[in-house]
Amino acid sequence: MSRRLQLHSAAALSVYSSSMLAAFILMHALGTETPGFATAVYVLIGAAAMVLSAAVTLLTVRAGMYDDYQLRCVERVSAVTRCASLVLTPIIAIAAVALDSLGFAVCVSLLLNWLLLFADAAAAAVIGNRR
Amino acid sequence: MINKVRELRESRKLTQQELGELVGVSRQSIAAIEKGRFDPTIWLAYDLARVFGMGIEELFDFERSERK
Repeated sequence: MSRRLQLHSAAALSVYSSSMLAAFILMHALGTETPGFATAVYVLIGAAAMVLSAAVTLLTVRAGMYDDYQLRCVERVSAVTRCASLVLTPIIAIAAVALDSLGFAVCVSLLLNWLLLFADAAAAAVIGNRR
Repeated sequence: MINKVRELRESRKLTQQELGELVGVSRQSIAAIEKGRFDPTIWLAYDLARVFGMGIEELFDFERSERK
């Protein structure tokens, strides 16, 4: 697997898995064993975001759009995205527990992580296409 | 890294885009190299030096640059 593909796959997986983990820990903490409709929607949209990210990655890698400097820029964006996800996910989980609302956690996590994934993919595409 | 890329590029009336195309990198990469924000690979440094008809050590000032 190329370094570029690894970069995006790792970023996408990191965002998605950390948010999923937080959602399921939260569900367990709240005593909800059966994933509800909101979680199903969450999983579906999360998967769609991953597919989008992977598609952008494959297209840019295939076109050979990055040089070393651009790749470094993309790495920075991905690092910031991953950090934001890792920091924000537990904050949302804690807020959800404080508010006693699984729906809140699921919806906000969904929106936030989708936006982060989208920002990551969009930044990669923009940087790649500028060349 | 301190270098003469900008002055040599301007003396040859090349844009960053044109120089980038000559050596196979983006305009942003050339801009970053000129400002010393990005150290090129040895092969890119070699290609740049060839475009300007000189050696790498003439184009890039290793003596005055900070080792990263």
